[in-house]
This record gives sequence, structure tokens and C-alpha cells, in this order.
Amino acid sequence: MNTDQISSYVMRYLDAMSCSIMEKTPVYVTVKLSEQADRLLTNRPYYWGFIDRTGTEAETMRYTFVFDPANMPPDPYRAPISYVTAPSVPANPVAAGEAAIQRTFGVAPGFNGGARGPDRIPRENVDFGSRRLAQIMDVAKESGRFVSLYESLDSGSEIQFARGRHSVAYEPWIMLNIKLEFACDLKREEVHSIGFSLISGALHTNFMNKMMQCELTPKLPAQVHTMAWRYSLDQAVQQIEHLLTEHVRNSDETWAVEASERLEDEWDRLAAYYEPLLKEEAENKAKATANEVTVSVTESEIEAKADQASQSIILTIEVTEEPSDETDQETTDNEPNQRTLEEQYEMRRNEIEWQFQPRIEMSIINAAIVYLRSNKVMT
Amino acid sequence: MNEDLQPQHAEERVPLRIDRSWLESFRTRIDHNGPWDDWTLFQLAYEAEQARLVKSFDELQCLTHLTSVEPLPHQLDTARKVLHEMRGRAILADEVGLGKTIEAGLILKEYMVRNLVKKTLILVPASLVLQWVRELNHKFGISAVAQKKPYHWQSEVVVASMDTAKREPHRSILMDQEYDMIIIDEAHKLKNRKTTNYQFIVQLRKKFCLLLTATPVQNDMNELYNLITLLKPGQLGRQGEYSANYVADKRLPKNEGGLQQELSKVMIRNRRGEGGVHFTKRIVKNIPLTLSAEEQALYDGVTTFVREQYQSNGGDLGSMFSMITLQREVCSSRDAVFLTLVNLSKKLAEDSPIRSKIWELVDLIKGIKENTKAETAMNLIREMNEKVIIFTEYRATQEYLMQYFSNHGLLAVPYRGGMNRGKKDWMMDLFRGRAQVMIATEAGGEGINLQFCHHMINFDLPWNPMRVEQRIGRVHRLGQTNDVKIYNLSTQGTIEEHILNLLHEKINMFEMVIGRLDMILERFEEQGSFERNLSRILLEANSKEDIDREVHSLGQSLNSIRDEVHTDKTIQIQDERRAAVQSFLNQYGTEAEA
Repeated sequence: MNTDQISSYVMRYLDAMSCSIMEKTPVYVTVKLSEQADRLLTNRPYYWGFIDRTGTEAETMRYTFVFDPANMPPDPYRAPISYVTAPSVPANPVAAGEAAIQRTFGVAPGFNGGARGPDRIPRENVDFGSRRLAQIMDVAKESGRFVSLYESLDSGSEIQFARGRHSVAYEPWIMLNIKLEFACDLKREEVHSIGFSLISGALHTNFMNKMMQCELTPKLPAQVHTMAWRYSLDQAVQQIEHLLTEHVRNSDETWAVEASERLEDEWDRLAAYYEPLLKEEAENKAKATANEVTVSVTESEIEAKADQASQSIILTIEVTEEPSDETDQETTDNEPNQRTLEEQYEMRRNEIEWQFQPRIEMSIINAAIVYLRSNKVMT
Repeated sequence: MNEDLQPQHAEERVPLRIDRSWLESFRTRIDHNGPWDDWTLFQLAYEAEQARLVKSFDELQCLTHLTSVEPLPHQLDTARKVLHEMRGRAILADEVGLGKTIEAGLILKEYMVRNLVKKTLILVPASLVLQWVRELNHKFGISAVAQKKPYHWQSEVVVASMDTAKREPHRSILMDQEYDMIIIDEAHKLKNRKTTNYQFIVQLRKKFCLLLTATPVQNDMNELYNLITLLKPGQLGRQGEYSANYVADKRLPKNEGGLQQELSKVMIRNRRGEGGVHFTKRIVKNIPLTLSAEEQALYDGVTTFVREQYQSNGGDLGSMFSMITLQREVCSSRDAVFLTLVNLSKKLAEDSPIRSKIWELVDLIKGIKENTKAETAMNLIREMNEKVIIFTEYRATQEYLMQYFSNHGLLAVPYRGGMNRGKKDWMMDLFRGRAQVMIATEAGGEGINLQFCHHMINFDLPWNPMRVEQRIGRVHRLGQTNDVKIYNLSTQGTIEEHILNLLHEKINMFEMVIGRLDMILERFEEQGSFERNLSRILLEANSKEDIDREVHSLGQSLNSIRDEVHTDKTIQIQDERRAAVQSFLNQYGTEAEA
């Protein structure tokens, strides 16, 4: 997304949330949030809890969202947030210095995001990758999930046509915007928008783009009636899922084959490492048990093997010599809740599967029911 | 659905999961005709998904998301390699100062953008926790938190110290988690398989894992094996196989080609001065200055005093620490000398004859009206009219300079090792914003990144060349876009002039390729430290000519070592593979623990 796209995106969001725009230039926008937007964006649950309980009138936050930081005049009150990691010298060094001095002399920043005094409006860069834009996008996703829309009927000739005769029939469509994720240790995604006619059973791809070019309204226009469904919602969903499943099965699967091969290779590597170790451990255990040198040995076993005590001296020496290659005072011998070698092997195998197992996920971005003129030609 | 029509193998291979959790909620709304969402928000939701879509497996997506960091080419290469070849499990073993943190941040960000990583644990030395948190937040827009309370473990990206994490009750909490990504900084602390650190990491569940260390091998070939086995068990075979295949001796590899190849699958090491890593030039200017008569008298007085003490002490260098300090301080400022002299006299018995000698020296100090060096420095600063950092070895000099500059209307801030983190940050902030000058006594340590400044003045010279290099390294580092100008204040007729001659003209250290100096010094210091050699020359010389001669021969031996190191390099190029492992081991074995 470039600066213009981001700017237009944010402006549409603010508008949809009925925020009042105080100042707008190509470089930035200063806005007083609506209550709805404030609750979603400012992360002030205590404040809103207070307002809700006491019934006090809310004072919503104001922000300056900067789309083009390079062309933004410097903020006179703001010091750089970081001195060590910020990449460039602030545009106004004197102000930055003053702010730093004020900090030491105890001029605390206001509660509203580093503001100074109630009149100051916090300023934020809203560029792609900024947390604010990500948040606005996430909030939009949460609050734009399901819609029901009708094609408007207000262009001249159609209105006359409609008024002159009887009411116009509208055909119901189910539109699903779907995300496909092809994932292994890496990931690729596709977005599909499919429309399904509940009358004819027709399927159309790229439906959202077509809808965005239509005039749509949430209210049923006058002189219009909707046709009775011939397909159910479940059938619609099934058809759309089927279409996409076909698409998935016909798409290039090299990535998945490769991922599966990697998975097998990694498992082989683990097996080559752990299986001999496990075998060794089992043998050692058997030996140790036989010769009463481990603490884990049970009393009955000791008794049972007591007759072999004569051999134990030689073997004990072998066993105690083993850890002498490395000495470290901080050893782990009596550490609690250790996992056994076998558990570790299992864990490593699962990790590898988790990492490489190819998988495809189909999820809904949002869904709509759209009523369109029945003779509308979908191209 | 006609699932029986689909090719069987595909079905087996790639499970397709269809999320239908939304369906009921959609159905309810259709049944009740509402509540419906806003059409604009519906479009915005769709556009957000489009904008953030990961269109291909290969491309680095995170770059479009990063606005406050510009990764260098070698860092991007490293990130790509870890993602596409090493599949997210790697040892990042760049030399100090090449930005391992940035590389790790890029990789983490990429996985997060692709939604493959959410839960992340970052284990670092306690002193680096806040720095990591800061960098991830500011440079990468990753909401990392420093672990302080037990509930912090529930956050998505947590930075904690290894020592905390491995102790109960934290340990049990962490053992029950599944981490999409674990990053461990200073991972050479995991070189020993029997330590709690190592075992702790073994027990954690993790998908991707990055180990960061500049020194994967310090003493022993086994350290390398342990580190890699932690990351990918079996990559180098079992211990026995590894020893048989790749280890000739504890510190000596065999079959370097094979080992190198295996290592390149899990480890990336960028070296300084190698392709892709570009440093700007260093421009050195020596500013000769002549002491006033009074200052010269003090210098001579101190030198004579020190030499007498040395001789009366029977030439024992070990007990002469304060004397050598005195000799060094007299090159810096009268304030520094004064403090040491006063402290010295306090330790002596009331009737000691040395006391009167000391007071004679103090009288000489009182006679000094001007400070030639400080004046020269100030003129220099006024002339360049840009940000400049001044390094001195002595706190007394630092304080004197602060006062001197402030009297002359020049805004300067101090920087000391003893300051706490917050104060250091504040000083840095003042220097960035308002002050033209920073006066620092500490050159080492993390956090002093002064890329925005490209002038530095060595007010006095440390006798340890590595410290000089550290000073330069604060300014001359990755991200510095200007050539760095280094000014050395050299007082004629003093030991300082000799040292400067030696370092500048004989071995040209100021302009040397970064990373080469430590190699030369290490060879040289096999016969005793540079500082010690200098002290001895100074104390034992009877005349200026003696000093000249001795310093000259010191220079000669440094020079021949430099040639050796250089020749080594030529040989290495002839056999690149061998060189890679060999120098790899040399480097890993010798670098100081960060």
C-alpha cells in the first residue's frame, strides 16, 4: 500500500465510524474519534468502564495520523521516543533537547500518549507496517463480517421502467470472501471471492470486485421484490467450498511434495541420532540393573542379582568413568522434571511435524447476501 | 462433495481444513435479517486482507512492513537463507557489530507477517533484555515485552534472561508452552551439554529456533557439536561419529571441507571487511601542540619523579601501577595528575621524603594558568561546527573539560561507564538533540551507537590500542553514512607523541580494516602486553634518544607481525575452503566473550 492508498483507507474507516475530521491535508489528518472508534482504538478499558458506570459524558481522543512523515512539519513538543535506536536526528534538535531536559526535571508527560497538557494531540505515523494501521485493519475485519445489500435502483430509465410497470424482481446471491492458506514451514495465501445465485445455482468468481462497482444499499428499494430461494444456504456454501476444493486440488503441489520430503528427511536424521542412543540407554540400564549401580534400581532387583556381585566392581568403574570427559559444577543430575530421552525424541519428532507438515486452510474473511436485479448480466 | 473423484495421493499428502465456525452466525443473521455490518467496513476488511496477502513462498514480505530500519545487504541475505534454506533453525554467528539482532528481527518479523509465528520466547543476558525489547518495538514494530511478572509469560513475544527462565517457578511454566520461535542471544553459553542452561533449552518445545553468538567455538570442537545438536539433533551425527569424522584434536578439525559443508547448512557467519558489508573511510588528523613552559615543567617534573621512584623500587614494574598512571595522566590534564598526587600523598607516612616531592609537583600544577590541550580542542570544535565526541581516559579530565567548555559557552554532555542505563540514554538524547559535544570516558559497552556523529577527538590516548579501536568503533560502525574524522591531540615532546607515532605511522591502525587489529595485537602480546612494554620503555629510558630507539623497535616488531598476518591472508586465499574453517576456528577460539 502506498501513502495515497493508506490515506484513503484510513479516511474511509474514520468516515464509516462517524469520526469528525478536524483537519485534513495529503500529509496528515487530525481527527476527533467517535465513541465507537475510541472504544475500539484507544485501549482505554478503564476509562470507558468509568464512563459507562457513572454515565458521565465521554471525552473522546483526538489524534493526528501522519501518512507522509517525510513532509510533516516537526512536532514542537515531542522528543524522540528513543535515543539509542531511533535512526535519525529529529527534525528539530532544539525541541528534542528541551524535551529531554524537561523529562529529567520531572515534567511528566500527560496520560494521552506522550501529550503535553490537555490541548495537545498525540501524533502517530500511519504507514504500512505501523501498529496503528494494523490495528485499524484488524478492527475493520472484526466489524465488517456480514452484510446484506440490495442493488440501488435510481438511474433514470430503470426507475421509469420500474414505476411504469410492476415491481422489479431481485435475485439473491451468497457471496463468500475466502482466504486459502498453503502452509508448511513457509506460507502462501490466496483470496477468492465467489458468488452463488440462490436462484440459478450459478457460480461467479471475483465477485467482490463486481460488487464494489455496483451501487449497493442496505435498504430494500421501493418497487422491488426479492425472489424466493431455490437453494439453501448450506447448498450455497457447499458449492462454493467444492469449487475451491477443486481449485486447490488442481493447483501446483510441488511445495507440498517438497515439504513432505523435508519432513521425512528430518525424521530420518532424528532417527539416526536417537534410536542408537535409546538402544544404548536400554542396554546400559540392563547392565546397570544387573550390577546395582544405579539409584533407580529396585530392591527386589538388587536381591535377584546379588549373586552377580563379583562382576559389579569392574563394571562400576566403567560406569563412573563415563561422565569424566566434561566437568561442570552446574550439572543437571538432580534437576526436577527432566524429560526422558524417549520423551525428547518424541518431542523432537512432533516439532518437525509441526514445522514442515504441509497443510491447506480455507477460512472466511467475510460473507454477504446480495440482492441483484435478476436480469443482471454477470461478466 | 465428490471427494472420491479427487486424486488419492493429493488427498493423502495435504490435509485441507475448512473453517465453518462462521456459518451459524451468518445463518442467524439471515434468519433474523440482521444485525448487519457496514458495507464500507466490509470492503475495508476485504481490502485489508488483500493488502496483507502473502502472495508467494519466497519473497521477503517483512520489508514492506519496516519503515524504521533499513537492513544491510548481508543482513537481508542472511534472513533469506535462514528462511528458505535453513528453514528457520539456524545459528547466526556474525562477528561482533554486524547486526545479528537485526537479522534475528527480520526473520522473526517475516514469520510473524506470514502468520507462522505468534508465540515467541527470546532469552538474552539480563543486561540486554531492555535493549532487545526496545529494538523489537521500535525497529520492527513487534510488541515484545520484558518478562517481569509471571503473567508476562502469557504475552506473545517475551524477552527474558536465561537465568530467570531456567529457574522455578518460571521453568515449569515454560516447559508447558509451545513456542513457535525461540531466539537465544549469546548462545555460546550453551556450549556445554551438561549445564542446566543447555538441558533447559533441550526440554522446551519449539518450532523455529535461532541461536546468536559471535563465538560458537571458544575452546573446544565439542562446543560446536553441542550447539548444533541443540538446534538439530543428528545434523553432525552422534558424538562418536562427529569425533571420528571431523575432529583431529580438541581444538583441531579434520576433513574441513566436509565440516564446512555441514556447518553451512545450519550456521551463517558474516565477517567484517567482507563483500557486502560497507564501511565508510576513516580520516585521521594529528593535531600537534606545544605545551606552555609551565605545563612542560610539570610534565618533566612528573616524568623525573616517576623514574626516580621506579629506580628506587628496584625496577619492579608490578608495584608501579600508580606511577604509570601518573605518567599517563600528565599527558591528559593537570586535574587528573592533581587528584592522583593528592591520593598518593595521603597514603604515605607523615615524614616520608616523597611527600615533599609530591608537594613540589602540586606547586607546579598551581603555577599552570592555561590548558593548551583544552584550548586546542575547543578551537577545533568551533571550527568543525558539527557534532563531536571527545574521549578521555580520566574522569578528572572529563570534569575539567565540562567546566571549561561551559565557561566558554559550548554545550557539552558527559558520558561515563558508571552511569545507569536511564542516565546514559538521557545523555545520548541530549547529545543527539541539543549538545554539540559529548565527553566520554567509556568506550566499551553496548548501547553507545553514535552513527549520527562523525567527528571524534582523542583528547588523550589509551596505551592499549584495542581501547583506541573501541573508541573509534562507537562512531565508525554499520549505519555511519559519513567518513569518520578522527583527531588526535598530540603533545610534542611527551610519551604521547611516541605512542601516536607508533600507532599511526608505524602500523597505521587508525585506518586499518576493522577486525585486523585484534589479530596483530594477539600475536604481539604473546610476548607481553603492549601497555607493559610501553611502561617499561618509559621507566627504564635514561634519555629521549633511548625512548626514541625503543619505541622504534617496538614499532618494527608490530610491523613485522602485521606483514605476517597479511601474508597469512594471501596464503589463505589460495586455499579458500581450508581458510574458511581454519580462520573460523582461529576466530572462534580467540574472540573475547562479548
